Amino acid sequence: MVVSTKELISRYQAGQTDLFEAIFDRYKDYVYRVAYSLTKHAAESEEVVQETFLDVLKALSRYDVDGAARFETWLYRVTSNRCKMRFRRKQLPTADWDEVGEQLGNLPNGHHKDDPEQAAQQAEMRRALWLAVGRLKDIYREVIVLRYGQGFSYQEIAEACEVSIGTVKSRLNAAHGQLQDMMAGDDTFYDQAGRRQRQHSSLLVLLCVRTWSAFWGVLKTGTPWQIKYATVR
Amino acid sequence: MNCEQTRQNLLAFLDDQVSDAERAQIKAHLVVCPDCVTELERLRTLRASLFDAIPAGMAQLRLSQSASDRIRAQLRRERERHSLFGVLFRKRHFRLGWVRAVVPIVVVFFVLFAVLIGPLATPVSAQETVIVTPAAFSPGTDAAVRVIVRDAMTAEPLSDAEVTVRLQPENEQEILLYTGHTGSQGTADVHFRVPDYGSDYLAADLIVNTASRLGQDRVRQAVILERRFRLYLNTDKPIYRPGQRVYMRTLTLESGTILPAAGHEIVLAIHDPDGARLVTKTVRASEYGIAATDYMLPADAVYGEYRLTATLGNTVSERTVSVGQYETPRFRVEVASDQSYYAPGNVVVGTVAARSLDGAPLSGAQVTLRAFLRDASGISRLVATLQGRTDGQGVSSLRFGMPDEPSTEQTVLVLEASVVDDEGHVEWGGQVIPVAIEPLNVNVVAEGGKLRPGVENVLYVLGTMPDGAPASMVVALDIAGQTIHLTTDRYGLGEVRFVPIDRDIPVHIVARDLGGREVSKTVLLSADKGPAQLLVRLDRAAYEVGDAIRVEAFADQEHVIYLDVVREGQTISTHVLELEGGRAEFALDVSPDMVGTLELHAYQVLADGALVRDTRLAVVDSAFPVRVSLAADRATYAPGDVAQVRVDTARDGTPVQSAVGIAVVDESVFALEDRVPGFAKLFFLLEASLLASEAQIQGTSLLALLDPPDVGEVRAAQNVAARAAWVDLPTSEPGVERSTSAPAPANKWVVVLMWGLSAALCLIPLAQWGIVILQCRRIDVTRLLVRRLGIVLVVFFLLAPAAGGAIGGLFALVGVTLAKIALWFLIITWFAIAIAVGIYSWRQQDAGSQHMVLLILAYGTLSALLCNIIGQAGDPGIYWRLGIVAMFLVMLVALLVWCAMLWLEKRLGIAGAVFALVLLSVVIAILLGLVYGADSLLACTIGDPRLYSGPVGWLVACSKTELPTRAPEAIEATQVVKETVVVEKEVEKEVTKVVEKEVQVTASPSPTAVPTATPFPQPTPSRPATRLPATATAQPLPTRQPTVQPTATAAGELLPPPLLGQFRPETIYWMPEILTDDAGRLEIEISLPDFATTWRLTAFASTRQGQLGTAMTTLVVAP
Repeated sequence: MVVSTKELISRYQAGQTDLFEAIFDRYKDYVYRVAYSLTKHAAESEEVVQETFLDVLKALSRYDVDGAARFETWLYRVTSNRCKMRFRRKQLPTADWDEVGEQLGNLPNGHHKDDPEQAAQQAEMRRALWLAVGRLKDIYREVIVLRYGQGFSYQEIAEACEVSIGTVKSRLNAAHGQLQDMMAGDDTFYDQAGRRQRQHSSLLVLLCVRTWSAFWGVLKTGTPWQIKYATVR
Repeated sequence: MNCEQTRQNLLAFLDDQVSDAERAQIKAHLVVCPDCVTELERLRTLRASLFDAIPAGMAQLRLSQSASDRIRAQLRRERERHSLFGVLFRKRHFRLGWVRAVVPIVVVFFVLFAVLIGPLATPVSAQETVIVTPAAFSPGTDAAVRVIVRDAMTAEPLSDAEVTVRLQPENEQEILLYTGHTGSQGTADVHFRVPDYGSDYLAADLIVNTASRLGQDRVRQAVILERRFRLYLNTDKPIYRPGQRVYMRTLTLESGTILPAAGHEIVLAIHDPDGARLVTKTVRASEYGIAATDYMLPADAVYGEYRLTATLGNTVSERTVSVGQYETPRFRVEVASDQSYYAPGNVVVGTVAARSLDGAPLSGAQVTLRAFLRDASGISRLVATLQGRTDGQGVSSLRFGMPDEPSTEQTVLVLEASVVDDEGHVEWGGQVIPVAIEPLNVNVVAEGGKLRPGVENVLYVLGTMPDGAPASMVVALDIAGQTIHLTTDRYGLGEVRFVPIDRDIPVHIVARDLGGREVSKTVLLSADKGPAQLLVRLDRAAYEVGDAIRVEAFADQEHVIYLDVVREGQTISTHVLELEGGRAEFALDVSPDMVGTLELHAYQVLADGALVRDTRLAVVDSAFPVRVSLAADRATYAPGDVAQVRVDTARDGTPVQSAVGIAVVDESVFALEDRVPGFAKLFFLLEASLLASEAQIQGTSLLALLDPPDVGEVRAAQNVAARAAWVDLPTSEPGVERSTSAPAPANKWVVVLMWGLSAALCLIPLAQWGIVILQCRRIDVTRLLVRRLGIVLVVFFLLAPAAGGAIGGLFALVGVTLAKIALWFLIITWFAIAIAVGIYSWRQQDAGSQHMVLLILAYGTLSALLCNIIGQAGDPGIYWRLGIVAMFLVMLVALLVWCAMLWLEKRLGIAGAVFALVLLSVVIAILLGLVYGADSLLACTIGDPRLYSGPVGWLVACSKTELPTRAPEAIEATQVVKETVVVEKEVEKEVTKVVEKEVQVTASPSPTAVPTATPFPQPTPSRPATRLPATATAQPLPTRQPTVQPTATAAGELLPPPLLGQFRPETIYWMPEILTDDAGRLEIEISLPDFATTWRLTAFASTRQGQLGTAMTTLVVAP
């Protein structure tokens, strides 16, 4: 049975300090990723991981297990603080980040084993998107990584970054806008994406929306609404 | 919602992070706006791609194994730095870890330091010095001081301790009085001559230093060097008429040396009845200590009692004389009865005799006799009135019957006769006769006043006839179930030896005399219920120089008995009596410097320092008083003759030069009032209190005791009676000063060590507070903590005084030994709990608890070390002590806060252990303060239960009152000592005044002042010989040889011839001080006035060495 993080921390706080290693094993990659996303630099991230866990060792006994926040958000905060302290006014090279993007480009894709072309396209798309994210400003990259990399909700992002939800929304919007602009020059991106969407869901979704809208209009007005059919490019 | 707003929210819409209303609006907009739909699709595409790409990228990111291992190792090291071994190598993270290293190092350092400098090598003990000394010393006399050095813990005397005694008089150089070593009994024979600085009153400090293998003491006691005097003031006669001259004479002797106070200025004053001072004269005492003056009373002097005073320094001697119109009696009336006492219903037969002053019978005079019964309250009842005439012998007989009803206790029959001669002069005479209820009086007195349980007591049985004459009788005593038979000797005295138990015992007495009269009574003898018993017995009451006082002592505690001989409030010698089987015997040689009243103080110092004592009085007379013999040249003189009187003063058969005061006064004046002749001697010999009691020891008059050998048997009887009579007399109590080692320790390193330890003990609580505060930060829920802390504090403040009270009770109940065992048990428990908490904190890797436990253990160890050092090396000083006490309390609170914190963290076990630790600390501290032997000043201060009663002290008031605290007791003791000294002084003055008055009363012809309450033979007027033996030498001179040569004829003070129409002179010769020649001889010529009377000539001789002698004779002038 997997022990929950909460349980681990409780036991640690009750004196089972050996459990700190379990916590470390469970969260070392997470912390590394967070550090990486913030620094875009592998070696520095490792240093950050070490320092972060030393901080955690000191601070874990103060951690409120019963609090509302997830341990990950708290840990993110510790890590980002450590990063900010470490790299205040320091610009790091982004070569490591880009290297990951290249890896993504060369990565075989599970979904498209049978279709090498599609697989190549998707890998290319991943690479392009990763590089685009790497070119985002820190605050935008931060929210993108949290949203898509860690799957945080807006609320959790707000807690982790210690900003309001509105700020999270606007940052995300801005980040997406920038990414769209960056990806706009890449024809294959939307072609591929669009094709896939069409294939899978766009028509159905559109239909549903239209149908529902019409139904909604009938409900509201009492008279049948003229149904407009539009083609999607 | 327009397009822009919609696009702002499209992402949130996709992420389902919009409200229902927004969602509806967006959907509505999307229906109408295809552009936004396009945008939505683009966004959806991007989002999906990101959901694909970012996790994929992230999945690429893994902490490398090498980095992971490195960091894991780093973290493990970091955690190990919380342990003892890691602490020294900690670099970056400052976290109080150093405490764990520093604390043991500090403790080890102190222990090593203490071991190195060696105080721990000696056994834990301390010496104690007990000093028993009077508060006042007489300059120029030999004095002694009792110094006892003993082990404070075991009360064992310490031999070979160095004792030095110094005197530091005010504004004078300190001088060494004595230096020596204690003997096997822990006491040194400290004796010295009190230095004489020439001043009569000088405050000084007596400084006693003692040093034994256990430590040093320095005891300082305030004493005074005071020259005390005795002023004996007398006048030519007791009663004056206005216009007569009052002659005053004082003899002043120094109390200490009994030498004449030559050269001192004596203030003589006369106060009239209103208290106004009529005359004050300052007279310098002569070489023989004599000062005299006279004062002519004005013709219009107020009638009444005039007070005459003689003052020297603080000493005032006082006499009262009467001034008024009086007539000297023309003839004498004497009443005699056939029995010396009467019972109700008896027939009283007696005579009234009237004789002129020269002894001729007065016949044919009218006699009226009235008889009263007077009870104790002074109410008189007329019993009979008889009329008659004197016959040719001047005698008229009387006879009447006593009333039948039983009289009450102390009722007397007063016979009052008035005789009217044919010239119409009325003279009075009287007699007071006891009325007996019982035919016999019998009483039992314990020799110590109260029965002393556990040792053999002597009970004196005294049998008397109702008139006070001794009665030989057979007595059966029922004491505590046993019957003892004895016969009192012909002086009415018997002794019973008896070992009483510890309670009051009723003694039933049945006594029967030879005449078959029987009496039975029950006397309740109260027992001394003190913790220890000591009884001292002397073989006699009065001694002469050269005798040996045989002292027997009995005690129920096997401590050495110390015997101090005190004279005039000053210890003159100290002795040690070794007990063997509860009994000790000692012979004390009476030396000339013991003349006077001796108090033999015997005492034992019990283990707890309390003194149990017993005191006996003895009177010592110089073996050879000055004998004054007076020889008049003729037996009878004709009016107008010149009498020649030869005075011889001798001592031990050898003539001695002395100063003689001579007065020739009409004897009829003395018929009115006088002191007992020979009183002067007693005045100087007896302590004031004893002198007062002299009035009560009738029949065992000291004069009889002291003055020449009567039959040995009589003397022995009187000895017994006197001893029995003195049992209750107050005696002076010398001040006792006790000191445990306190002064500066020998080694300066010890001081440094003590200071260091004190500082450490003050700092540790602060460190604990620091840790507690740091730990507090960890806990954000301050309010909860405060609540818990409140509960903990309340519980503590309820439990601590309760524990204190319980311990006090237990302590009283089980005694010191068991309490000591309990103390050790508690200390072991304390350390066990502390170590258990330590182990727990280590296993839990709880750094805060580890720090706390270390500090607690260090505190325990260091305080034990400090107590130990203080116990033998002294005191770090009051400020350190107070600091330690304050910080101890601070530490208790810190521990309680910690306890509350642990509770808050739900670690109930360790919280309970910490609370127990705190409570035990208090209990141990209190016990340390209480258990004798563990008492250092520090332990006493910390152990004061009042400290822990705190704000709820009133709840357990018992903890304040019941528990014995040591320190205040000592303070009280010194205060008491001071008070006694003051009181004694005052009392002494008063007593001197009172005494003279009382003695005058006693000596007056009215026997009403005779206290019948005394169980001793009462005086019978028929036995004056025993009372006034001094008069023996002054009986009418057997030798009537004519004076040979007027070798040293003194003119005397010739008084002016009597003027016609005035009263006859009553004092015809007054010479306050005249010296005999080397052969002790003096001749005086006295011109007798030309009328017939009897003159009384008194001579009062004193030598330069202070010996006294008196004599009296009469010069009869017959027509």
